[in-house]
Amino acid sequence: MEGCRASVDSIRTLEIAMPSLKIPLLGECSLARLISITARFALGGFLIAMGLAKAFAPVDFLKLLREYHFLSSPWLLNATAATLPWFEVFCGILLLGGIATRATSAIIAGLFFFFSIAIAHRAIALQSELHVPFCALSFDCGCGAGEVFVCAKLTENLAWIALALWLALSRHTLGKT
Amino acid sequence: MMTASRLHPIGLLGLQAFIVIFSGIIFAVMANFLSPRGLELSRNYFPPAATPAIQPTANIGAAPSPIPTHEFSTVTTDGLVEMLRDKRFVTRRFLLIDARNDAHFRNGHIEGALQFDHFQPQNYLSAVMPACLAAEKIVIYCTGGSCEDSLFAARMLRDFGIPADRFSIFIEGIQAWKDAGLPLTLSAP
Repeated sequence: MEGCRASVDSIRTLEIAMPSLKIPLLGECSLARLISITARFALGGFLIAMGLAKAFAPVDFLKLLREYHFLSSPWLLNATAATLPWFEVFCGILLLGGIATRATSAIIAGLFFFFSIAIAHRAIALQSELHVPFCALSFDCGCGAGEVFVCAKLTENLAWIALALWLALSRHTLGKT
Repeated sequence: MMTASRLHPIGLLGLQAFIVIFSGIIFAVMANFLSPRGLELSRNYFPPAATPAIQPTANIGAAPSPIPTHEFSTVTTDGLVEMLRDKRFVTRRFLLIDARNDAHFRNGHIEGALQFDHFQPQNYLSAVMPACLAAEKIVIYCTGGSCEDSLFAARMLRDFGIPADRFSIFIEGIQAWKDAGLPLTLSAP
């Protein structure tokens, strides 16, 4: 219980340091609620970091996105490369602020599911070209973190999907929704 | 009139998701528009070849080549070294263009090369266009391997009116240049 109280105190300190962050008051000190807040901050922080990494180098992201061969129209390709990173940043801000947490988490779970399908699809294509074991394959997936091993990236995405779904569905999720 | 509180939880979640997506797209479009590095939505950053592309020769049974197909003639490392020794390179009758971005160019480029990043053409055209119009041969390079920036730069300059037959691509790129132990020049940011 002491550890739980310390965590609540640290959240209060964060609220004082950043008044724009509106973390709802905890009616009770429950571990599940603390996990929920931690999950929100982890997912939100990750989305902002990855989104900004891509948004500050949109040309690099555009080139990587083109390699997926999903979007043949230049307009659609440009629009996706230009808006997707900023959309991730937007969702990250909502999660950090506890605004529309369930809906944002559900959207993020869907996005990560789609990203994972795209990464797996591209990895299979690369594997057939390069003739290397699937999990030994590494490439820059355009995820914002540079070159990654496919299996590690897919596992990481699955963890984020599980976390986002838990935030979307859990009764312990705090926020303005 | 139905209020949000009377909606089914799933319906409410759907409505909120719609609002988040809609406002997120507005935010993203505005951020891209305001960002100095933002992309132009209507521009084709990867122009296709105007004439049928040439597939580089590959051995049957070999792994697929990472070298992109293109419609321009090519120059090897030895050919480029020879060109750079020619006095016409000093007088800019022979021109060398680096098609990589600022960071890569600053970290090392072939001495005497002009930079032309086709993703930000407005920053370079005032220097590159007069030089291209005066040159009789223009060699463009980028990183090498699967890098296509040299091809897209050549296509863009061709579309701006430089005759296509002046262009040659150093397809092996800066990587082959470095691998051959040839010198690079750094430039200040």
